[in-house]
Amino acid sequence: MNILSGKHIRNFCDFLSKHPIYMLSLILILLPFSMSYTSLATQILIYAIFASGYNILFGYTGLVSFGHSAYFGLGAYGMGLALYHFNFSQGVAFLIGVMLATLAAMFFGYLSLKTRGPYFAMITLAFAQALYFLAFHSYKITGGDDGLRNIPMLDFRIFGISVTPLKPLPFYYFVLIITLICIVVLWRLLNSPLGRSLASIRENESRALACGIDIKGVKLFAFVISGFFSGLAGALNTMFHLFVHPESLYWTTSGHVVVMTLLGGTGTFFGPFLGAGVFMFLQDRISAITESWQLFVGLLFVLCVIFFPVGIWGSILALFRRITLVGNVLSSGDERIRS
Amino acid sequence: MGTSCLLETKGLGRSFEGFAALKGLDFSLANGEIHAIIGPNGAGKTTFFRLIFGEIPPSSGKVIFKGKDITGLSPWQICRLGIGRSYQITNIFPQLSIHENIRMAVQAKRLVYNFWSSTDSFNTFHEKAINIMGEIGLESRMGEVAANLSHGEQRKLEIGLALASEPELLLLDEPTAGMSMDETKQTVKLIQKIARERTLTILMVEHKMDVVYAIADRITVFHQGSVLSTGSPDNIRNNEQVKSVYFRGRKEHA
Repeated sequence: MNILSGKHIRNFCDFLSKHPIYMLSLILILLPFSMSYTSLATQILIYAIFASGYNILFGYTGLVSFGHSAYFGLGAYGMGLALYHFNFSQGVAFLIGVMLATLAAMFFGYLSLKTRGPYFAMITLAFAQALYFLAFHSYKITGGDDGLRNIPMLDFRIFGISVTPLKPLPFYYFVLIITLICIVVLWRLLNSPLGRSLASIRENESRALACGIDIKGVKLFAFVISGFFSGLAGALNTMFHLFVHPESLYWTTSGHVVVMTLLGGTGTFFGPFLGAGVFMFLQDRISAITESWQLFVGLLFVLCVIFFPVGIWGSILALFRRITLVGNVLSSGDERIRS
Repeated sequence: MGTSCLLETKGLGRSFEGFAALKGLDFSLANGEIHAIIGPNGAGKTTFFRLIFGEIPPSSGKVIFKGKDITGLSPWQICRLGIGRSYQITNIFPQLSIHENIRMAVQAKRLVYNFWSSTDSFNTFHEKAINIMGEIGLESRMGEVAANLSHGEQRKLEIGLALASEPELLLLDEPTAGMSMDETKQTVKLIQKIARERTLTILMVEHKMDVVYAIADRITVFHQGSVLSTGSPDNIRNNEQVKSVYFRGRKEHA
Protein backbone atom coordinates (compact mmCIF):
# COMPACT_ATOMS: atom_id res chain seq x y z
CA MET A 1 0.00 0.00 0.00
CA ASN A 2 2.82 2.33 0.89
CA ILE A 3 4.72 1.52 -2.30
CA LEU A 4 1.59 2.10 -4.28
CA SER A 5 1.00 5.53 -2.80
CA GLY A 6 4.67 6.42 -3.28
CA LYS A 7 4.36 5.53 -6.93
CA HIS A 8 1.21 7.56 -7.19
CA ILE A 9 2.92 10.55 -5.68
CA ARG A 10 5.82 10.19 -8.11
CA ASN A 11 3.48 9.86 -11.06
CA PHE A 12 1.63 12.92 -9.83
CA CYS A 13 4.90 14.89 -9.61
CA ASP A 14 5.88 13.74 -13.10
CA PHE A 15 2.53 14.83 -14.39
CA LEU A 16 2.92 18.26 -12.79
CA SER A 17 6.38 18.86 -14.20
CA LYS A 18 5.18 17.92 -17.66
CA HIS A 19 2.14 20.15 -17.37
CA PRO A 20 3.34 23.33 -15.71
CA ILE A 21 -0.09 24.93 -16.01
CA TYR A 22 -1.52 22.36 -13.60
CA MET A 23 1.41 22.99 -11.31
CA LEU A 24 0.67 26.71 -11.30
CA SER A 25 -3.03 26.02 -10.76
CA LEU A 26 -2.24 23.85 -7.76
CA ILE A 27 -0.02 26.53 -6.26
CA LEU A 28 -2.70 29.15 -6.82
CA ILE A 29 -5.39 26.96 -5.26
CA LEU A 30 -3.26 26.68 -2.13
CA LEU A 31 -2.01 30.27 -2.19
CA PRO A 32 -4.54 31.83 0.24
CA PHE A 33 -3.47 29.41 2.96
CA SER A 34 0.14 30.50 2.73
CA MET A 35 -0.69 34.17 3.07
CA SER A 36 -1.30 36.05 6.29
CA TYR A 37 -4.71 37.06 4.95
CA THR A 38 -6.73 36.00 1.93
CA SER A 39 -7.13 39.44 0.36
CA LEU A 40 -3.40 39.58 -0.23
CA ALA A 41 -3.65 36.43 -2.33
CA THR A 42 -6.53 37.97 -4.30
CA GLN A 43 -4.50 41.10 -4.94
CA ILE A 44 -1.60 38.95 -6.13
CA LEU A 45 -3.85 37.21 -8.66
CA ILE A 46 -5.11 40.50 -10.03
CA TYR A 47 -1.64 41.93 -10.43
CA ALA A 48 -0.41 38.64 -11.89
CA ILE A 49 -2.99 38.97 -14.69
CA PHE A 50 -1.92 42.58 -15.19
CA ALA A 51 1.78 41.65 -15.28
CA SER A 52 1.13 38.71 -17.61
CA GLY A 53 -0.67 41.03 -20.01
CA TYR A 54 2.16 43.51 -19.81
CA ASN A 55 4.65 40.71 -20.35
CA ILE A 56 3.14 39.93 -23.77
CA LEU A 57 4.28 43.32 -24.98
CA PHE A 58 7.39 43.82 -22.86
CA GLY A 59 8.79 40.31 -22.52
CA TYR A 60 7.64 38.50 -25.63
CA THR A 61 7.48 41.25 -28.23
CA GLY A 62 10.25 43.39 -26.76
CA LEU A 63 8.30 46.65 -26.71
CA VAL A 64 8.77 48.75 -23.58
CA SER A 65 5.60 50.59 -22.64
CA PHE A 66 5.61 52.88 -19.61
CA GLY A 67 1.92 53.56 -19.87
CA HIS A 68 0.12 50.35 -19.06
CA SER A 69 -1.62 52.00 -16.15
CA ALA A 70 -3.85 53.48 -18.88
CA TYR A 71 -5.42 50.10 -19.66
CA PHE A 72 -5.50 48.89 -16.06
CA GLY A 73 -7.08 52.20 -15.05
CA LEU A 74 -9.55 52.24 -17.93
CA GLY A 75 -10.63 48.71 -17.06
CA ALA A 76 -11.10 49.83 -13.47
CA TYR A 77 -12.92 53.07 -14.29
CA GLY A 78 -14.95 51.50 -17.08
CA MET A 79 -16.31 48.91 -14.67
CA GLY A 80 -16.77 51.42 -11.84
CA LEU A 81 -18.51 54.07 -13.93
CA ALA A 82 -20.79 51.54 -15.60
CA LEU A 83 -21.88 50.30 -12.16
CA TYR A 84 -22.06 53.64 -10.41
CA HIS A 85 -23.67 55.85 -13.04
CA PHE A 86 -25.58 53.42 -15.19
CA ASN A 87 -26.40 50.65 -12.78
CA PHE A 88 -25.42 47.94 -15.20
CA SER A 89 -25.19 44.41 -13.93
CA GLN A 90 -21.78 43.24 -12.74
CA GLY A 91 -21.20 41.08 -15.80
CA VAL A 92 -22.07 43.81 -18.28
CA ALA A 93 -20.04 46.38 -16.36
CA PHE A 94 -17.10 44.00 -16.36
CA LEU A 95 -17.31 43.61 -20.14
CA ILE A 96 -17.59 47.38 -20.56
CA GLY A 97 -14.41 47.87 -18.53
CA VAL A 98 -12.49 45.28 -20.51
CA MET A 99 -13.80 46.58 -23.86
CA LEU A 100 -12.94 50.17 -22.95
CA ALA A 101 -9.35 49.18 -22.16
CA THR A 102 -9.07 47.07 -25.31
CA LEU A 103 -10.39 49.79 -27.58
CA ALA A 104 -8.11 52.35 -25.97
CA ALA A 105 -5.18 49.97 -26.48
CA MET A 106 -6.15 49.70 -30.14
CA PHE A 107 -6.22 53.47 -30.55
CA PHE A 108 -3.20 54.40 -28.43
CA GLY A 109 -1.29 51.36 -29.67
CA TYR A 110 -1.83 52.35 -33.28
CA LEU A 111 -0.49 55.83 -32.60
CA SER A 112 2.34 54.79 -30.28
CA LEU A 113 3.62 52.11 -32.64
CA LYS A 114 4.45 54.77 -35.19
CA THR A 115 7.43 55.52 -32.94
CA ARG A 116 10.11 53.24 -31.58
CA GLY A 117 12.45 52.74 -28.64
CA PRO A 118 12.49 55.54 -26.07
CA TYR A 119 9.94 57.55 -28.04
CA PHE A 120 7.54 54.64 -27.84
CA ALA A 121 8.03 54.42 -24.08
CA MET A 122 7.49 58.17 -23.69
CA ILE A 123 4.39 58.38 -25.85
CA THR A 124 2.72 55.49 -24.03
CA LEU A 125 3.54 57.27 -20.78
CA ALA A 126 2.10 60.52 -22.13
CA PHE A 127 -1.20 58.88 -23.08
CA ALA A 128 -1.52 57.32 -19.64
CA GLN A 129 -0.75 60.58 -17.87
CA ALA A 130 -3.29 62.41 -20.04
CA LEU A 131 -5.94 59.91 -18.93
CA TYR A 132 -4.86 60.30 -15.31
CA PHE A 133 -5.35 64.07 -15.38
CA LEU A 134 -8.63 63.64 -17.18
CA ALA A 135 -9.88 61.35 -14.42
CA PHE A 136 -8.35 63.55 -11.73
CA HIS A 137 -10.11 66.70 -12.92
CA SER A 138 -13.48 65.21 -13.88
CA TYR A 139 -14.67 65.42 -10.30
CA LYS A 140 -18.37 65.08 -11.11
CA ILE A 141 -17.93 61.90 -13.06
CA THR A 142 -15.01 60.11 -11.46
CA GLY A 143 -14.91 61.62 -7.99
CA GLY A 144 -11.59 63.26 -8.85
CA ASP A 145 -8.84 62.71 -6.34
CA ASP A 146 -11.28 61.20 -3.85
CA GLY A 147 -11.73 58.33 -6.24
CA LEU A 148 -14.93 56.66 -7.32
CA ARG A 149 -16.69 55.41 -4.19
CA ASN A 150 -19.85 53.50 -3.31
CA ILE A 151 -19.67 51.20 -6.28
CA PRO A 152 -22.42 48.54 -6.15
CA MET A 153 -21.10 45.25 -4.86
CA LEU A 154 -20.84 41.91 -6.60
CA ASP A 155 -23.06 39.41 -4.81
CA PHE A 156 -24.21 36.12 -6.24
CA ARG A 157 -24.71 32.64 -4.96
CA ILE A 158 -23.36 29.55 -6.55
CA PHE A 159 -23.86 26.06 -5.08
CA GLY A 160 -25.15 27.73 -1.96
CA ILE A 161 -21.98 29.74 -1.45
CA SER A 162 -22.31 33.48 -1.64
CA VAL A 163 -19.57 35.16 -3.64
CA THR A 164 -18.92 38.73 -2.59
CA PRO A 165 -15.78 40.72 -1.84
CA LEU A 166 -16.87 40.71 1.81
CA LYS A 167 -16.12 37.00 2.00
CA PRO A 168 -12.44 36.78 1.11
CA LEU A 169 -12.10 33.05 0.45
CA PRO A 170 -15.04 32.51 -1.95
CA PHE A 171 -14.11 35.75 -3.68
CA TYR A 172 -10.53 34.55 -4.05
CA TYR A 173 -11.70 31.39 -5.79
CA PHE A 174 -13.99 33.40 -8.00
CA VAL A 175 -11.02 35.53 -9.11
CA LEU A 176 -8.95 32.36 -9.43
CA ILE A 177 -11.40 30.87 -11.94
CA ILE A 178 -11.08 33.99 -14.06
CA THR A 179 -7.30 33.85 -13.63
CA LEU A 180 -7.20 30.24 -14.76
CA ILE A 181 -9.20 31.09 -17.86
CA CYS A 182 -6.68 33.87 -18.56
CA ILE A 183 -3.80 31.44 -18.05
CA VAL A 184 -5.23 28.95 -20.55
CA VAL A 185 -5.88 31.69 -23.12
CA LEU A 186 -2.39 33.13 -22.64
CA TRP A 187 -0.79 29.70 -22.84
CA ARG A 188 -2.51 28.86 -26.09
CA LEU A 189 -1.83 32.31 -27.47
CA LEU A 190 1.88 32.20 -26.73
CA ASN A 191 2.26 28.70 -28.16
CA SER A 192 0.35 29.54 -31.33
CA PRO A 193 2.00 30.62 -34.57
CA LEU A 194 1.09 34.19 -33.73
CA GLY A 195 2.61 33.92 -30.26
CA ARG A 196 5.81 32.54 -31.71
CA SER A 197 6.03 35.34 -34.21
CA LEU A 198 6.09 37.81 -31.29
CA ALA A 199 9.51 36.46 -30.30
CA SER A 200 10.77 36.88 -33.86
CA ILE A 201 10.02 40.58 -33.62
CA ARG A 202 11.82 40.82 -30.28
CA GLU A 203 14.78 38.85 -31.63
CA ASN A 204 15.24 40.52 -34.99
CA GLU A 205 12.65 42.83 -36.43
CA SER A 206 14.19 43.27 -39.87
CA ARG A 207 14.55 39.50 -40.35
CA ALA A 208 10.99 38.92 -39.15
CA LEU A 209 9.85 41.39 -41.78
CA ALA A 210 11.93 39.64 -44.45
CA CYS A 211 10.42 36.29 -43.41
CA GLY A 212 6.97 37.52 -44.28
CA ILE A 213 5.71 38.62 -40.87
CA ASP A 214 3.50 41.67 -40.94
CA ILE A 215 5.34 43.24 -38.02
CA LYS A 216 3.15 46.32 -37.79
CA GLY A 217 0.03 44.19 -37.55
CA VAL A 218 1.55 41.70 -35.12
CA LYS A 219 2.87 44.46 -32.87
CA LEU A 220 -0.55 46.10 -32.75
CA PHE A 221 -2.13 42.75 -31.98
CA ALA A 222 0.32 42.24 -29.10
CA PHE A 223 -0.47 45.73 -27.82
CA VAL A 224 -4.22 45.14 -27.95
CA ILE A 225 -4.05 41.72 -26.27
CA SER A 226 -1.80 43.23 -23.65
CA GLY A 227 -4.30 46.03 -23.10
CA PHE A 228 -7.11 43.49 -22.89
CA PHE A 229 -5.51 41.59 -19.99
CA SER A 230 -4.51 44.82 -18.26
CA GLY A 231 -8.09 46.06 -18.51
CA LEU A 232 -9.40 42.76 -17.25
CA ALA A 233 -7.14 43.03 -14.21
CA GLY A 234 -8.29 46.61 -13.67
CA ALA A 235 -11.96 45.62 -13.79
CA LEU A 236 -11.33 42.81 -11.30
CA ASN A 237 -9.60 45.32 -9.06
CA THR A 238 -12.73 47.48 -9.02
CA MET A 239 -14.87 44.45 -8.24
CA PHE A 240 -12.48 43.61 -5.42
CA HIS A 241 -12.10 47.04 -3.77
CA LEU A 242 -15.49 48.59 -4.71
CA PHE A 243 -13.47 51.70 -5.26
CA VAL A 244 -11.41 53.24 -8.06
CA HIS A 245 -8.56 55.54 -7.16
CA PRO A 246 -7.13 57.81 -9.86
CA GLU A 247 -3.75 56.39 -8.96
CA SER A 248 -4.71 53.29 -10.93
CA LEU A 249 -4.13 55.49 -14.01
CA TYR A 250 -1.01 57.14 -12.58
CA TRP A 251 2.47 56.33 -13.85
CA THR A 252 3.40 54.62 -10.57
CA THR A 253 0.97 51.83 -11.48
CA SER A 254 2.83 51.42 -14.79
CA GLY A 255 6.06 51.42 -12.82
CA HIS A 256 4.82 48.68 -10.50
CA VAL A 257 3.89 46.39 -13.36
CA VAL A 258 7.30 46.91 -14.97
CA VAL A 259 8.99 46.02 -11.68
CA MET A 260 6.80 42.94 -11.14
CA THR A 261 7.51 41.66 -14.65
CA LEU A 262 11.24 42.27 -14.40
CA LEU A 263 11.40 40.83 -10.90
CA GLY A 264 9.73 37.61 -12.01
CA GLY A 265 11.43 37.30 -15.38
CA THR A 266 10.46 38.97 -18.64
CA GLY A 267 9.46 36.77 -21.53
CA THR A 268 8.75 33.78 -19.28
CA PHE A 269 5.24 32.48 -18.77
CA PHE A 270 5.30 32.13 -14.99
CA GLY A 271 7.64 35.03 -14.23
CA PRO A 272 4.88 37.63 -13.90
CA PHE A 273 3.02 35.42 -11.40
CA LEU A 274 6.10 35.03 -9.25
CA GLY A 275 6.98 38.70 -9.71
CA ALA A 276 3.51 39.88 -8.67
CA GLY A 277 3.59 37.49 -5.72
CA VAL A 278 6.99 38.58 -4.45
CA PHE A 279 6.21 42.25 -5.00
CA MET A 280 2.87 42.17 -3.17
CA PHE A 281 4.21 39.97 -0.39
CA LEU A 282 7.14 42.30 0.24
CA GLN A 283 4.94 45.36 0.06
CA ASP A 284 2.66 43.80 2.65
CA ARG A 285 5.44 42.74 5.01
CA ILE A 286 7.66 45.80 4.72
CA SER A 287 4.83 48.32 4.86
CA ALA A 288 3.81 46.76 8.18
CA ILE A 289 7.21 47.78 9.55
CA THR A 290 7.91 51.06 7.80
CA GLU A 291 6.02 53.50 5.62
CA SER A 292 8.95 53.78 3.24
CA TRP A 293 8.43 50.25 1.89
CA GLN A 294 9.09 51.44 -1.63
CA LEU A 295 12.68 52.20 -0.64
CA PHE A 296 13.27 48.56 0.22
CA VAL A 297 11.36 47.12 -2.71
CA GLY A 298 13.27 49.54 -4.93
CA LEU A 299 16.56 48.39 -3.44
CA LEU A 300 15.64 44.76 -4.00
CA PHE A 301 14.68 45.62 -7.56
CA VAL A 302 18.07 47.24 -8.21
CA LEU A 303 19.88 44.22 -6.77
CA CYS A 304 17.72 41.87 -8.81
CA VAL A 305 18.35 43.72 -12.06
CA ILE A 306 22.11 43.72 -11.40
CA PHE A 307 22.53 40.16 -10.18
CA PHE A 308 19.54 38.36 -11.75
CA PRO A 309 18.92 40.25 -14.98
CA VAL A 310 16.59 37.50 -16.19
CA GLY A 311 14.46 37.76 -13.05
CA ILE A 312 13.76 35.27 -10.29
CA TRP A 313 11.92 32.77 -12.44
CA GLY A 314 14.28 33.34 -15.34
CA SER A 315 17.23 32.50 -13.07
CA ILE A 316 15.53 29.38 -11.73
CA LEU A 317 14.87 28.27 -15.30
CA ALA A 318 18.45 28.92 -16.37
CA LEU A 319 19.70 26.89 -13.41
CA PHE A 320 17.24 24.12 -14.15
CA ARG A 321 18.28 24.01 -17.81
CA ARG A 322 21.92 23.79 -16.84
CA ILE A 323 21.20 20.79 -14.61
CA THR A 324 18.90 18.86 -16.88
CA LEU A 325 19.72 19.80 -20.43
CA VAL A 326 23.50 19.72 -20.66
CA GLY A 327 24.39 18.08 -23.94
CA ASN A 328 20.80 17.14 -24.40
CA VAL A 329 19.56 18.19 -27.80
CA LEU A 330 15.95 19.15 -27.42
CA SER A 331 13.74 16.99 -29.49
CA SER A 332 11.91 19.34 -31.78
CA GLY A 333 8.25 19.79 -31.18
CA ASP A 334 9.23 19.84 -27.55
CA GLU A 335 10.32 23.42 -27.65
CA ARG A 336 7.06 24.75 -26.38
CA ILE A 337 6.97 27.81 -24.30
CA ARG A 338 6.78 25.85 -21.08
CA SER A 339 8.29 28.44 -18.89
CA MET B 1 14.24 37.38 -73.86
CA GLY B 2 13.37 33.95 -75.08
CA THR B 3 12.39 32.55 -71.71
CA SER B 4 9.66 34.11 -69.64
CA CYS B 5 10.68 36.97 -67.44
CA LEU B 6 10.35 36.54 -63.66
CA LEU B 7 11.64 39.86 -62.42
CA GLU B 8 12.01 43.12 -64.23
CA THR B 9 12.98 46.60 -63.21
CA LYS B 10 12.17 49.63 -65.28
CA GLY B 11 14.12 52.83 -64.80
CA LEU B 12 14.77 51.86 -61.19
CA GLY B 13 16.66 54.64 -59.46
CA ARG B 14 17.51 55.73 -55.97
CA SER B 15 19.42 58.70 -54.67
CA PHE B 16 20.66 59.29 -51.15
CA GLU B 17 20.77 62.99 -50.32
CA GLY B 18 21.55 63.97 -53.87
CA PHE B 19 23.94 61.10 -54.54
CA ALA B 20 22.52 58.80 -57.21
CA ALA B 21 23.27 55.27 -55.98
CA LEU B 22 21.27 53.74 -58.80
CA LYS B 23 20.62 55.54 -62.05
CA GLY B 24 17.43 54.39 -63.75
CA LEU B 25 18.20 50.70 -64.07
CA ASP B 26 16.51 48.47 -66.65
CA PHE B 27 17.09 44.89 -65.70
CA SER B 28 15.37 41.61 -66.39
CA LEU B 29 15.75 38.19 -64.90
CA ALA B 30 14.68 35.09 -66.80
CA ASN B 31 12.77 32.31 -65.13
CA GLY B 32 15.11 29.63 -63.80
CA GLU B 33 18.42 31.35 -64.34
CA ILE B 34 21.17 31.96 -61.83
CA HIS B 35 22.24 35.50 -62.28
CA ALA B 36 25.20 37.11 -60.53
CA ILE B 37 25.72 40.81 -60.01
CA ILE B 38 29.30 41.95 -59.65
CA GLY B 39 30.86 45.36 -59.43
CA PRO B 40 33.15 47.48 -57.30
CA ASN B 41 32.08 48.67 -53.85
CA GLY B 42 29.52 51.43 -54.07
CA ALA B 43 28.31 50.30 -57.49
CA GLY B 44 24.77 50.02 -56.10
CA LYS B 45 24.43 46.24 -55.82
CA THR B 46 23.01 46.08 -52.32
CA THR B 47 20.87 49.17 -52.98
CA PHE B 48 19.44 47.27 -55.94
CA PHE B 49 18.54 44.33 -53.67
CA ARG B 50 17.01 46.60 -51.07
CA LEU B 51 14.85 48.28 -53.72
CA ILE B 52 13.65 44.96 -55.14
CA PHE B 53 12.78 43.67 -51.67
CA GLY B 54 10.99 46.86 -50.63
CA GLU B 55 13.36 47.73 -47.80
CA ILE B 56 13.70 51.24 -49.15
CA PRO B 57 11.44 52.98 -51.66
CA PRO B 58 12.89 53.88 -55.05
CA SER B 59 13.26 57.50 -56.12
CA SER B 60 12.09 56.51 -59.58
CA GLY B 61 11.05 53.53 -61.65
CA LYS B 62 9.35 50.30 -60.73
CA VAL B 63 9.89 46.65 -59.91
CA ILE B 64 7.79 44.00 -61.64
CA PHE B 65 7.66 40.46 -60.31
CA LYS B 66 5.73 37.82 -62.26
CA GLY B 67 4.09 40.59 -64.25
CA LYS B 68 2.87 42.35 -61.11
CA ASP B 69 4.06 45.77 -60.03
CA ILE B 70 5.50 45.28 -56.54
CA THR B 71 6.99 48.75 -56.14
CA GLY B 72 6.13 50.23 -52.76
CA LEU B 73 5.14 46.96 -51.11
CA SER B 74 6.59 46.10 -47.73
CA PRO B 75 9.21 43.30 -47.44
CA TRP B 76 6.73 40.96 -45.70
CA GLN B 77 4.31 41.30 -48.60
CA ILE B 78 7.06 40.77 -51.15
CA CYS B 79 8.22 37.70 -49.23
CA ARG B 80 4.70 36.29 -49.39
CA LEU B 81 4.60 36.85 -53.13
CA GLY B 82 7.57 34.52 -53.53
CA ILE B 83 10.87 36.33 -53.06
CA GLY B 84 13.32 35.14 -50.40
CA ARG B 85 16.24 37.22 -49.26
CA SER B 86 19.53 36.50 -47.53
CA TYR B 87 21.74 39.22 -46.18
CA GLN B 88 25.36 40.18 -46.53
CA ILE B 89 25.61 40.71 -42.79
CA THR B 90 24.15 37.66 -41.05
CA ASN B 91 20.57 38.42 -40.09
CA ILE B 92 19.10 35.61 -37.99
CA PHE B 93 17.16 35.18 -34.72
CA PRO B 94 20.18 34.85 -32.41
CA GLN B 95 18.51 33.60 -29.22
CA LEU B 96 16.31 30.96 -30.86
CA SER B 97 17.42 27.46 -31.76
CA ILE B 98 18.13 26.57 -35.38
CA HIS B 99 14.90 24.64 -35.49
CA GLU B 100 12.91 27.56 -34.14
CA ASN B 101 14.65 29.95 -36.52
CA ILE B 102 13.63 27.89 -39.53
CA ARG B 103 10.17 27.03 -38.27
CA MET B 104 9.50 30.67 -37.52
CA ALA B 105 10.33 31.48 -41.11
CA VAL B 106 8.28 28.54 -42.41
CA GLN B 107 5.16 29.49 -40.50
CA ALA B 108 5.58 33.23 -41.00
CA LYS B 109 4.10 33.13 -44.46
CA ARG B 110 0.65 32.16 -43.32
CA LEU B 111 -1.51 31.52 -40.28
CA VAL B 112 0.05 34.44 -38.51
CA TYR B 113 -3.28 35.46 -37.03
CA ASN B 114 -4.02 32.04 -35.68
CA PHE B 115 -3.60 32.59 -31.96
CA TRP B 116 -5.38 29.53 -30.64
CA SER B 117 -3.87 26.34 -32.07
CA SER B 118 -0.52 25.23 -30.78
CA THR B 119 2.34 25.66 -33.23
CA ASP B 120 3.34 22.08 -32.52
CA SER B 121 0.07 20.84 -33.92
CA PHE B 122 1.05 22.08 -37.35
CA ASN B 123 3.05 19.08 -38.46
CA THR B 124 3.71 20.52 -41.87
CA PHE B 125 5.69 23.37 -40.28
CA HIS B 126 7.78 20.87 -38.44
CA GLU B 127 8.37 18.68 -41.48
CA LYS B 128 9.26 21.58 -43.72
CA ALA B 129 11.67 22.88 -41.10
CA ILE B 130 13.32 19.46 -40.86
CA ASN B 131 13.63 19.30 -44.65
CA ILE B 132 15.27 22.67 -44.87
CA MET B 133 17.67 21.88 -42.04
CA GLY B 134 18.61 18.73 -43.95
CA GLU B 135 19.16 20.72 -47.13
CA ILE B 136 21.47 23.23 -45.49
CA GLY B 137 23.21 20.50 -43.51
CA LEU B 138 22.33 21.69 -40.02
CA GLU B 139 19.89 18.95 -39.07
CA SER B 140 22.18 17.41 -36.48
CA ARG B 141 22.49 20.74 -34.67
CA MET B 142 18.85 21.79 -34.72
CA GLY B 143 18.57 22.28 -30.95
CA GLU B 144 21.54 24.63 -30.83
CA VAL B 145 20.94 28.31 -30.17
CA ALA B 146 21.79 30.25 -33.33
CA ALA B 147 24.14 32.64 -31.52
CA ASN B 148 26.40 29.68 -30.65
CA LEU B 149 26.95 28.66 -34.28
CA SER B 150 30.17 29.29 -36.18
CA HIS B 151 30.18 32.00 -38.82
CA GLY B 152 29.96 29.46 -41.63
CA GLU B 153 26.99 27.72 -40.00
CA GLN B 154 25.25 31.03 -39.45
CA ARG B 155 25.67 31.79 -43.14
CA LYS B 156 24.00 28.46 -43.95
CA LEU B 157 21.16 29.30 -41.58
CA GLU B 158 20.88 32.63 -43.34
CA ILE B 159 20.23 30.78 -46.62
CA GLY B 160 17.87 28.40 -44.81
CA LEU B 161 15.78 31.31 -43.55
CA ALA B 162 15.53 32.68 -47.08
CA LEU B 163 14.43 29.26 -48.34
CA ALA B 164 11.84 28.75 -45.62
CA SER B 165 9.22 30.90 -47.28
CA GLU B 166 9.48 28.61 -50.35
CA PRO B 167 10.38 31.41 -52.73
CA GLU B 168 10.48 31.29 -56.50
CA LEU B 169 13.17 33.93 -56.57
CA LEU B 170 16.04 33.88 -54.13
CA LEU B 171 18.09 37.01 -53.55
CA LEU B 172 21.48 36.09 -52.11
CA ASP B 173 23.62 38.98 -50.95
CA GLU B 174 27.20 37.74 -50.78
CA PRO B 175 26.37 34.24 -49.55
CA THR B 176 30.04 33.37 -49.02
CA ALA B 177 31.02 36.59 -47.22
CA GLY B 178 33.73 35.94 -44.64
CA MET B 179 33.93 32.21 -45.39
CA SER B 180 37.01 30.04 -45.57
CA MET B 181 37.92 28.33 -48.87
CA ASP B 182 36.40 25.11 -47.67
CA GLU B 183 33.17 26.69 -46.49
CA THR B 184 32.94 28.63 -49.75
CA LYS B 185 33.12 25.38 -51.74
CA GLN B 186 30.39 23.85 -49.60
CA THR B 187 28.20 26.90 -50.08
CA VAL B 188 28.67 26.79 -53.85
CA LYS B 189 27.53 23.17 -53.80
CA LEU B 190 24.59 24.08 -51.57
CA ILE B 191 23.45 26.85 -53.89
CA GLN B 192 23.76 24.62 -56.94
CA LYS B 193 21.80 21.90 -55.18
CA ILE B 194 18.92 24.08 -54.06
CA ALA B 195 18.75 25.76 -57.45
CA ARG B 196 18.42 22.36 -59.11
CA GLU B 197 16.13 20.66 -56.63
CA ARG B 198 13.82 23.57 -56.00
CA THR B 199 13.90 24.95 -59.55
CA LEU B 200 14.72 28.34 -58.17
CA THR B 201 15.64 31.50 -59.91
CA ILE B 202 18.58 33.05 -58.11
CA LEU B 203 19.88 36.57 -58.17
CA MET B 204 23.09 36.94 -56.22
CA VAL B 205 25.64 39.56 -55.39
CA GLU B 206 29.09 38.05 -55.07
CA HIS B 207 32.65 39.29 -55.00
CA LYS B 208 34.50 36.01 -55.34
CA MET B 209 34.89 35.48 -59.07
CA ASP B 210 35.50 31.73 -58.81
CA VAL B 211 32.12 31.41 -57.07
CA VAL B 212 30.46 33.55 -59.74
CA TYR B 213 31.99 31.56 -62.60
CA ALA B 214 31.06 28.27 -60.97
CA ILE B 215 27.41 29.12 -60.37
CA ALA B 216 26.15 31.85 -62.65
CA ASP B 217 24.39 31.41 -65.98
CA ARG B 218 24.58 35.11 -66.61
CA ILE B 219 26.50 37.98 -65.07
CA THR B 220 25.68 41.65 -64.83
CA VAL B 221 28.41 44.15 -64.01
CA PHE B 222 27.37 47.23 -62.07
CA HIS B 223 29.44 50.35 -62.18
CA GLN B 224 28.59 53.67 -60.51
CA GLY B 225 24.90 52.93 -60.31
CA SER B 226 24.43 51.71 -63.87
CA VAL B 227 24.79 48.46 -65.75
CA LEU B 228 28.14 48.29 -67.47
CA SER B 229 27.56 44.98 -69.18
CA THR B 230 25.44 41.83 -69.10
CA GLY B 231 26.35 38.49 -70.54
CA SER B 232 27.46 34.91 -70.10
CA PRO B 233 30.47 34.23 -67.84
CA ASP B 234 32.74 33.84 -70.87
CA ASN B 235 31.50 37.08 -72.36
CA ILE B 236 32.18 38.96 -69.16
CA ARG B 237 35.56 37.35 -68.60
CA ASN B 238 36.75 38.62 -71.98
CA ASN B 239 35.04 41.98 -71.98
CA GLU B 240 37.72 44.71 -72.18
CA GLN B 241 35.58 47.39 -70.60
CA VAL B 242 34.73 45.16 -67.64
CA LYS B 243 38.37 44.25 -67.24
CA SER B 244 39.41 47.87 -67.06
CA VAL B 245 36.84 49.07 -64.50
CA TYR B 246 36.47 46.00 -62.38
CA PHE B 247 39.12 43.34 -62.51
CA ARG B 248 42.08 45.66 -62.77
CA GLY B 249 40.72 47.83 -60.01
CA ARG B 250 40.31 44.76 -57.84
CA LYS B 251 43.87 43.66 -58.39
CA GLU B 252 45.22 47.04 -57.46
CA HIS B 253 43.22 47.18 -54.24
CA ALA B 254 43.71 43.56 -53.33
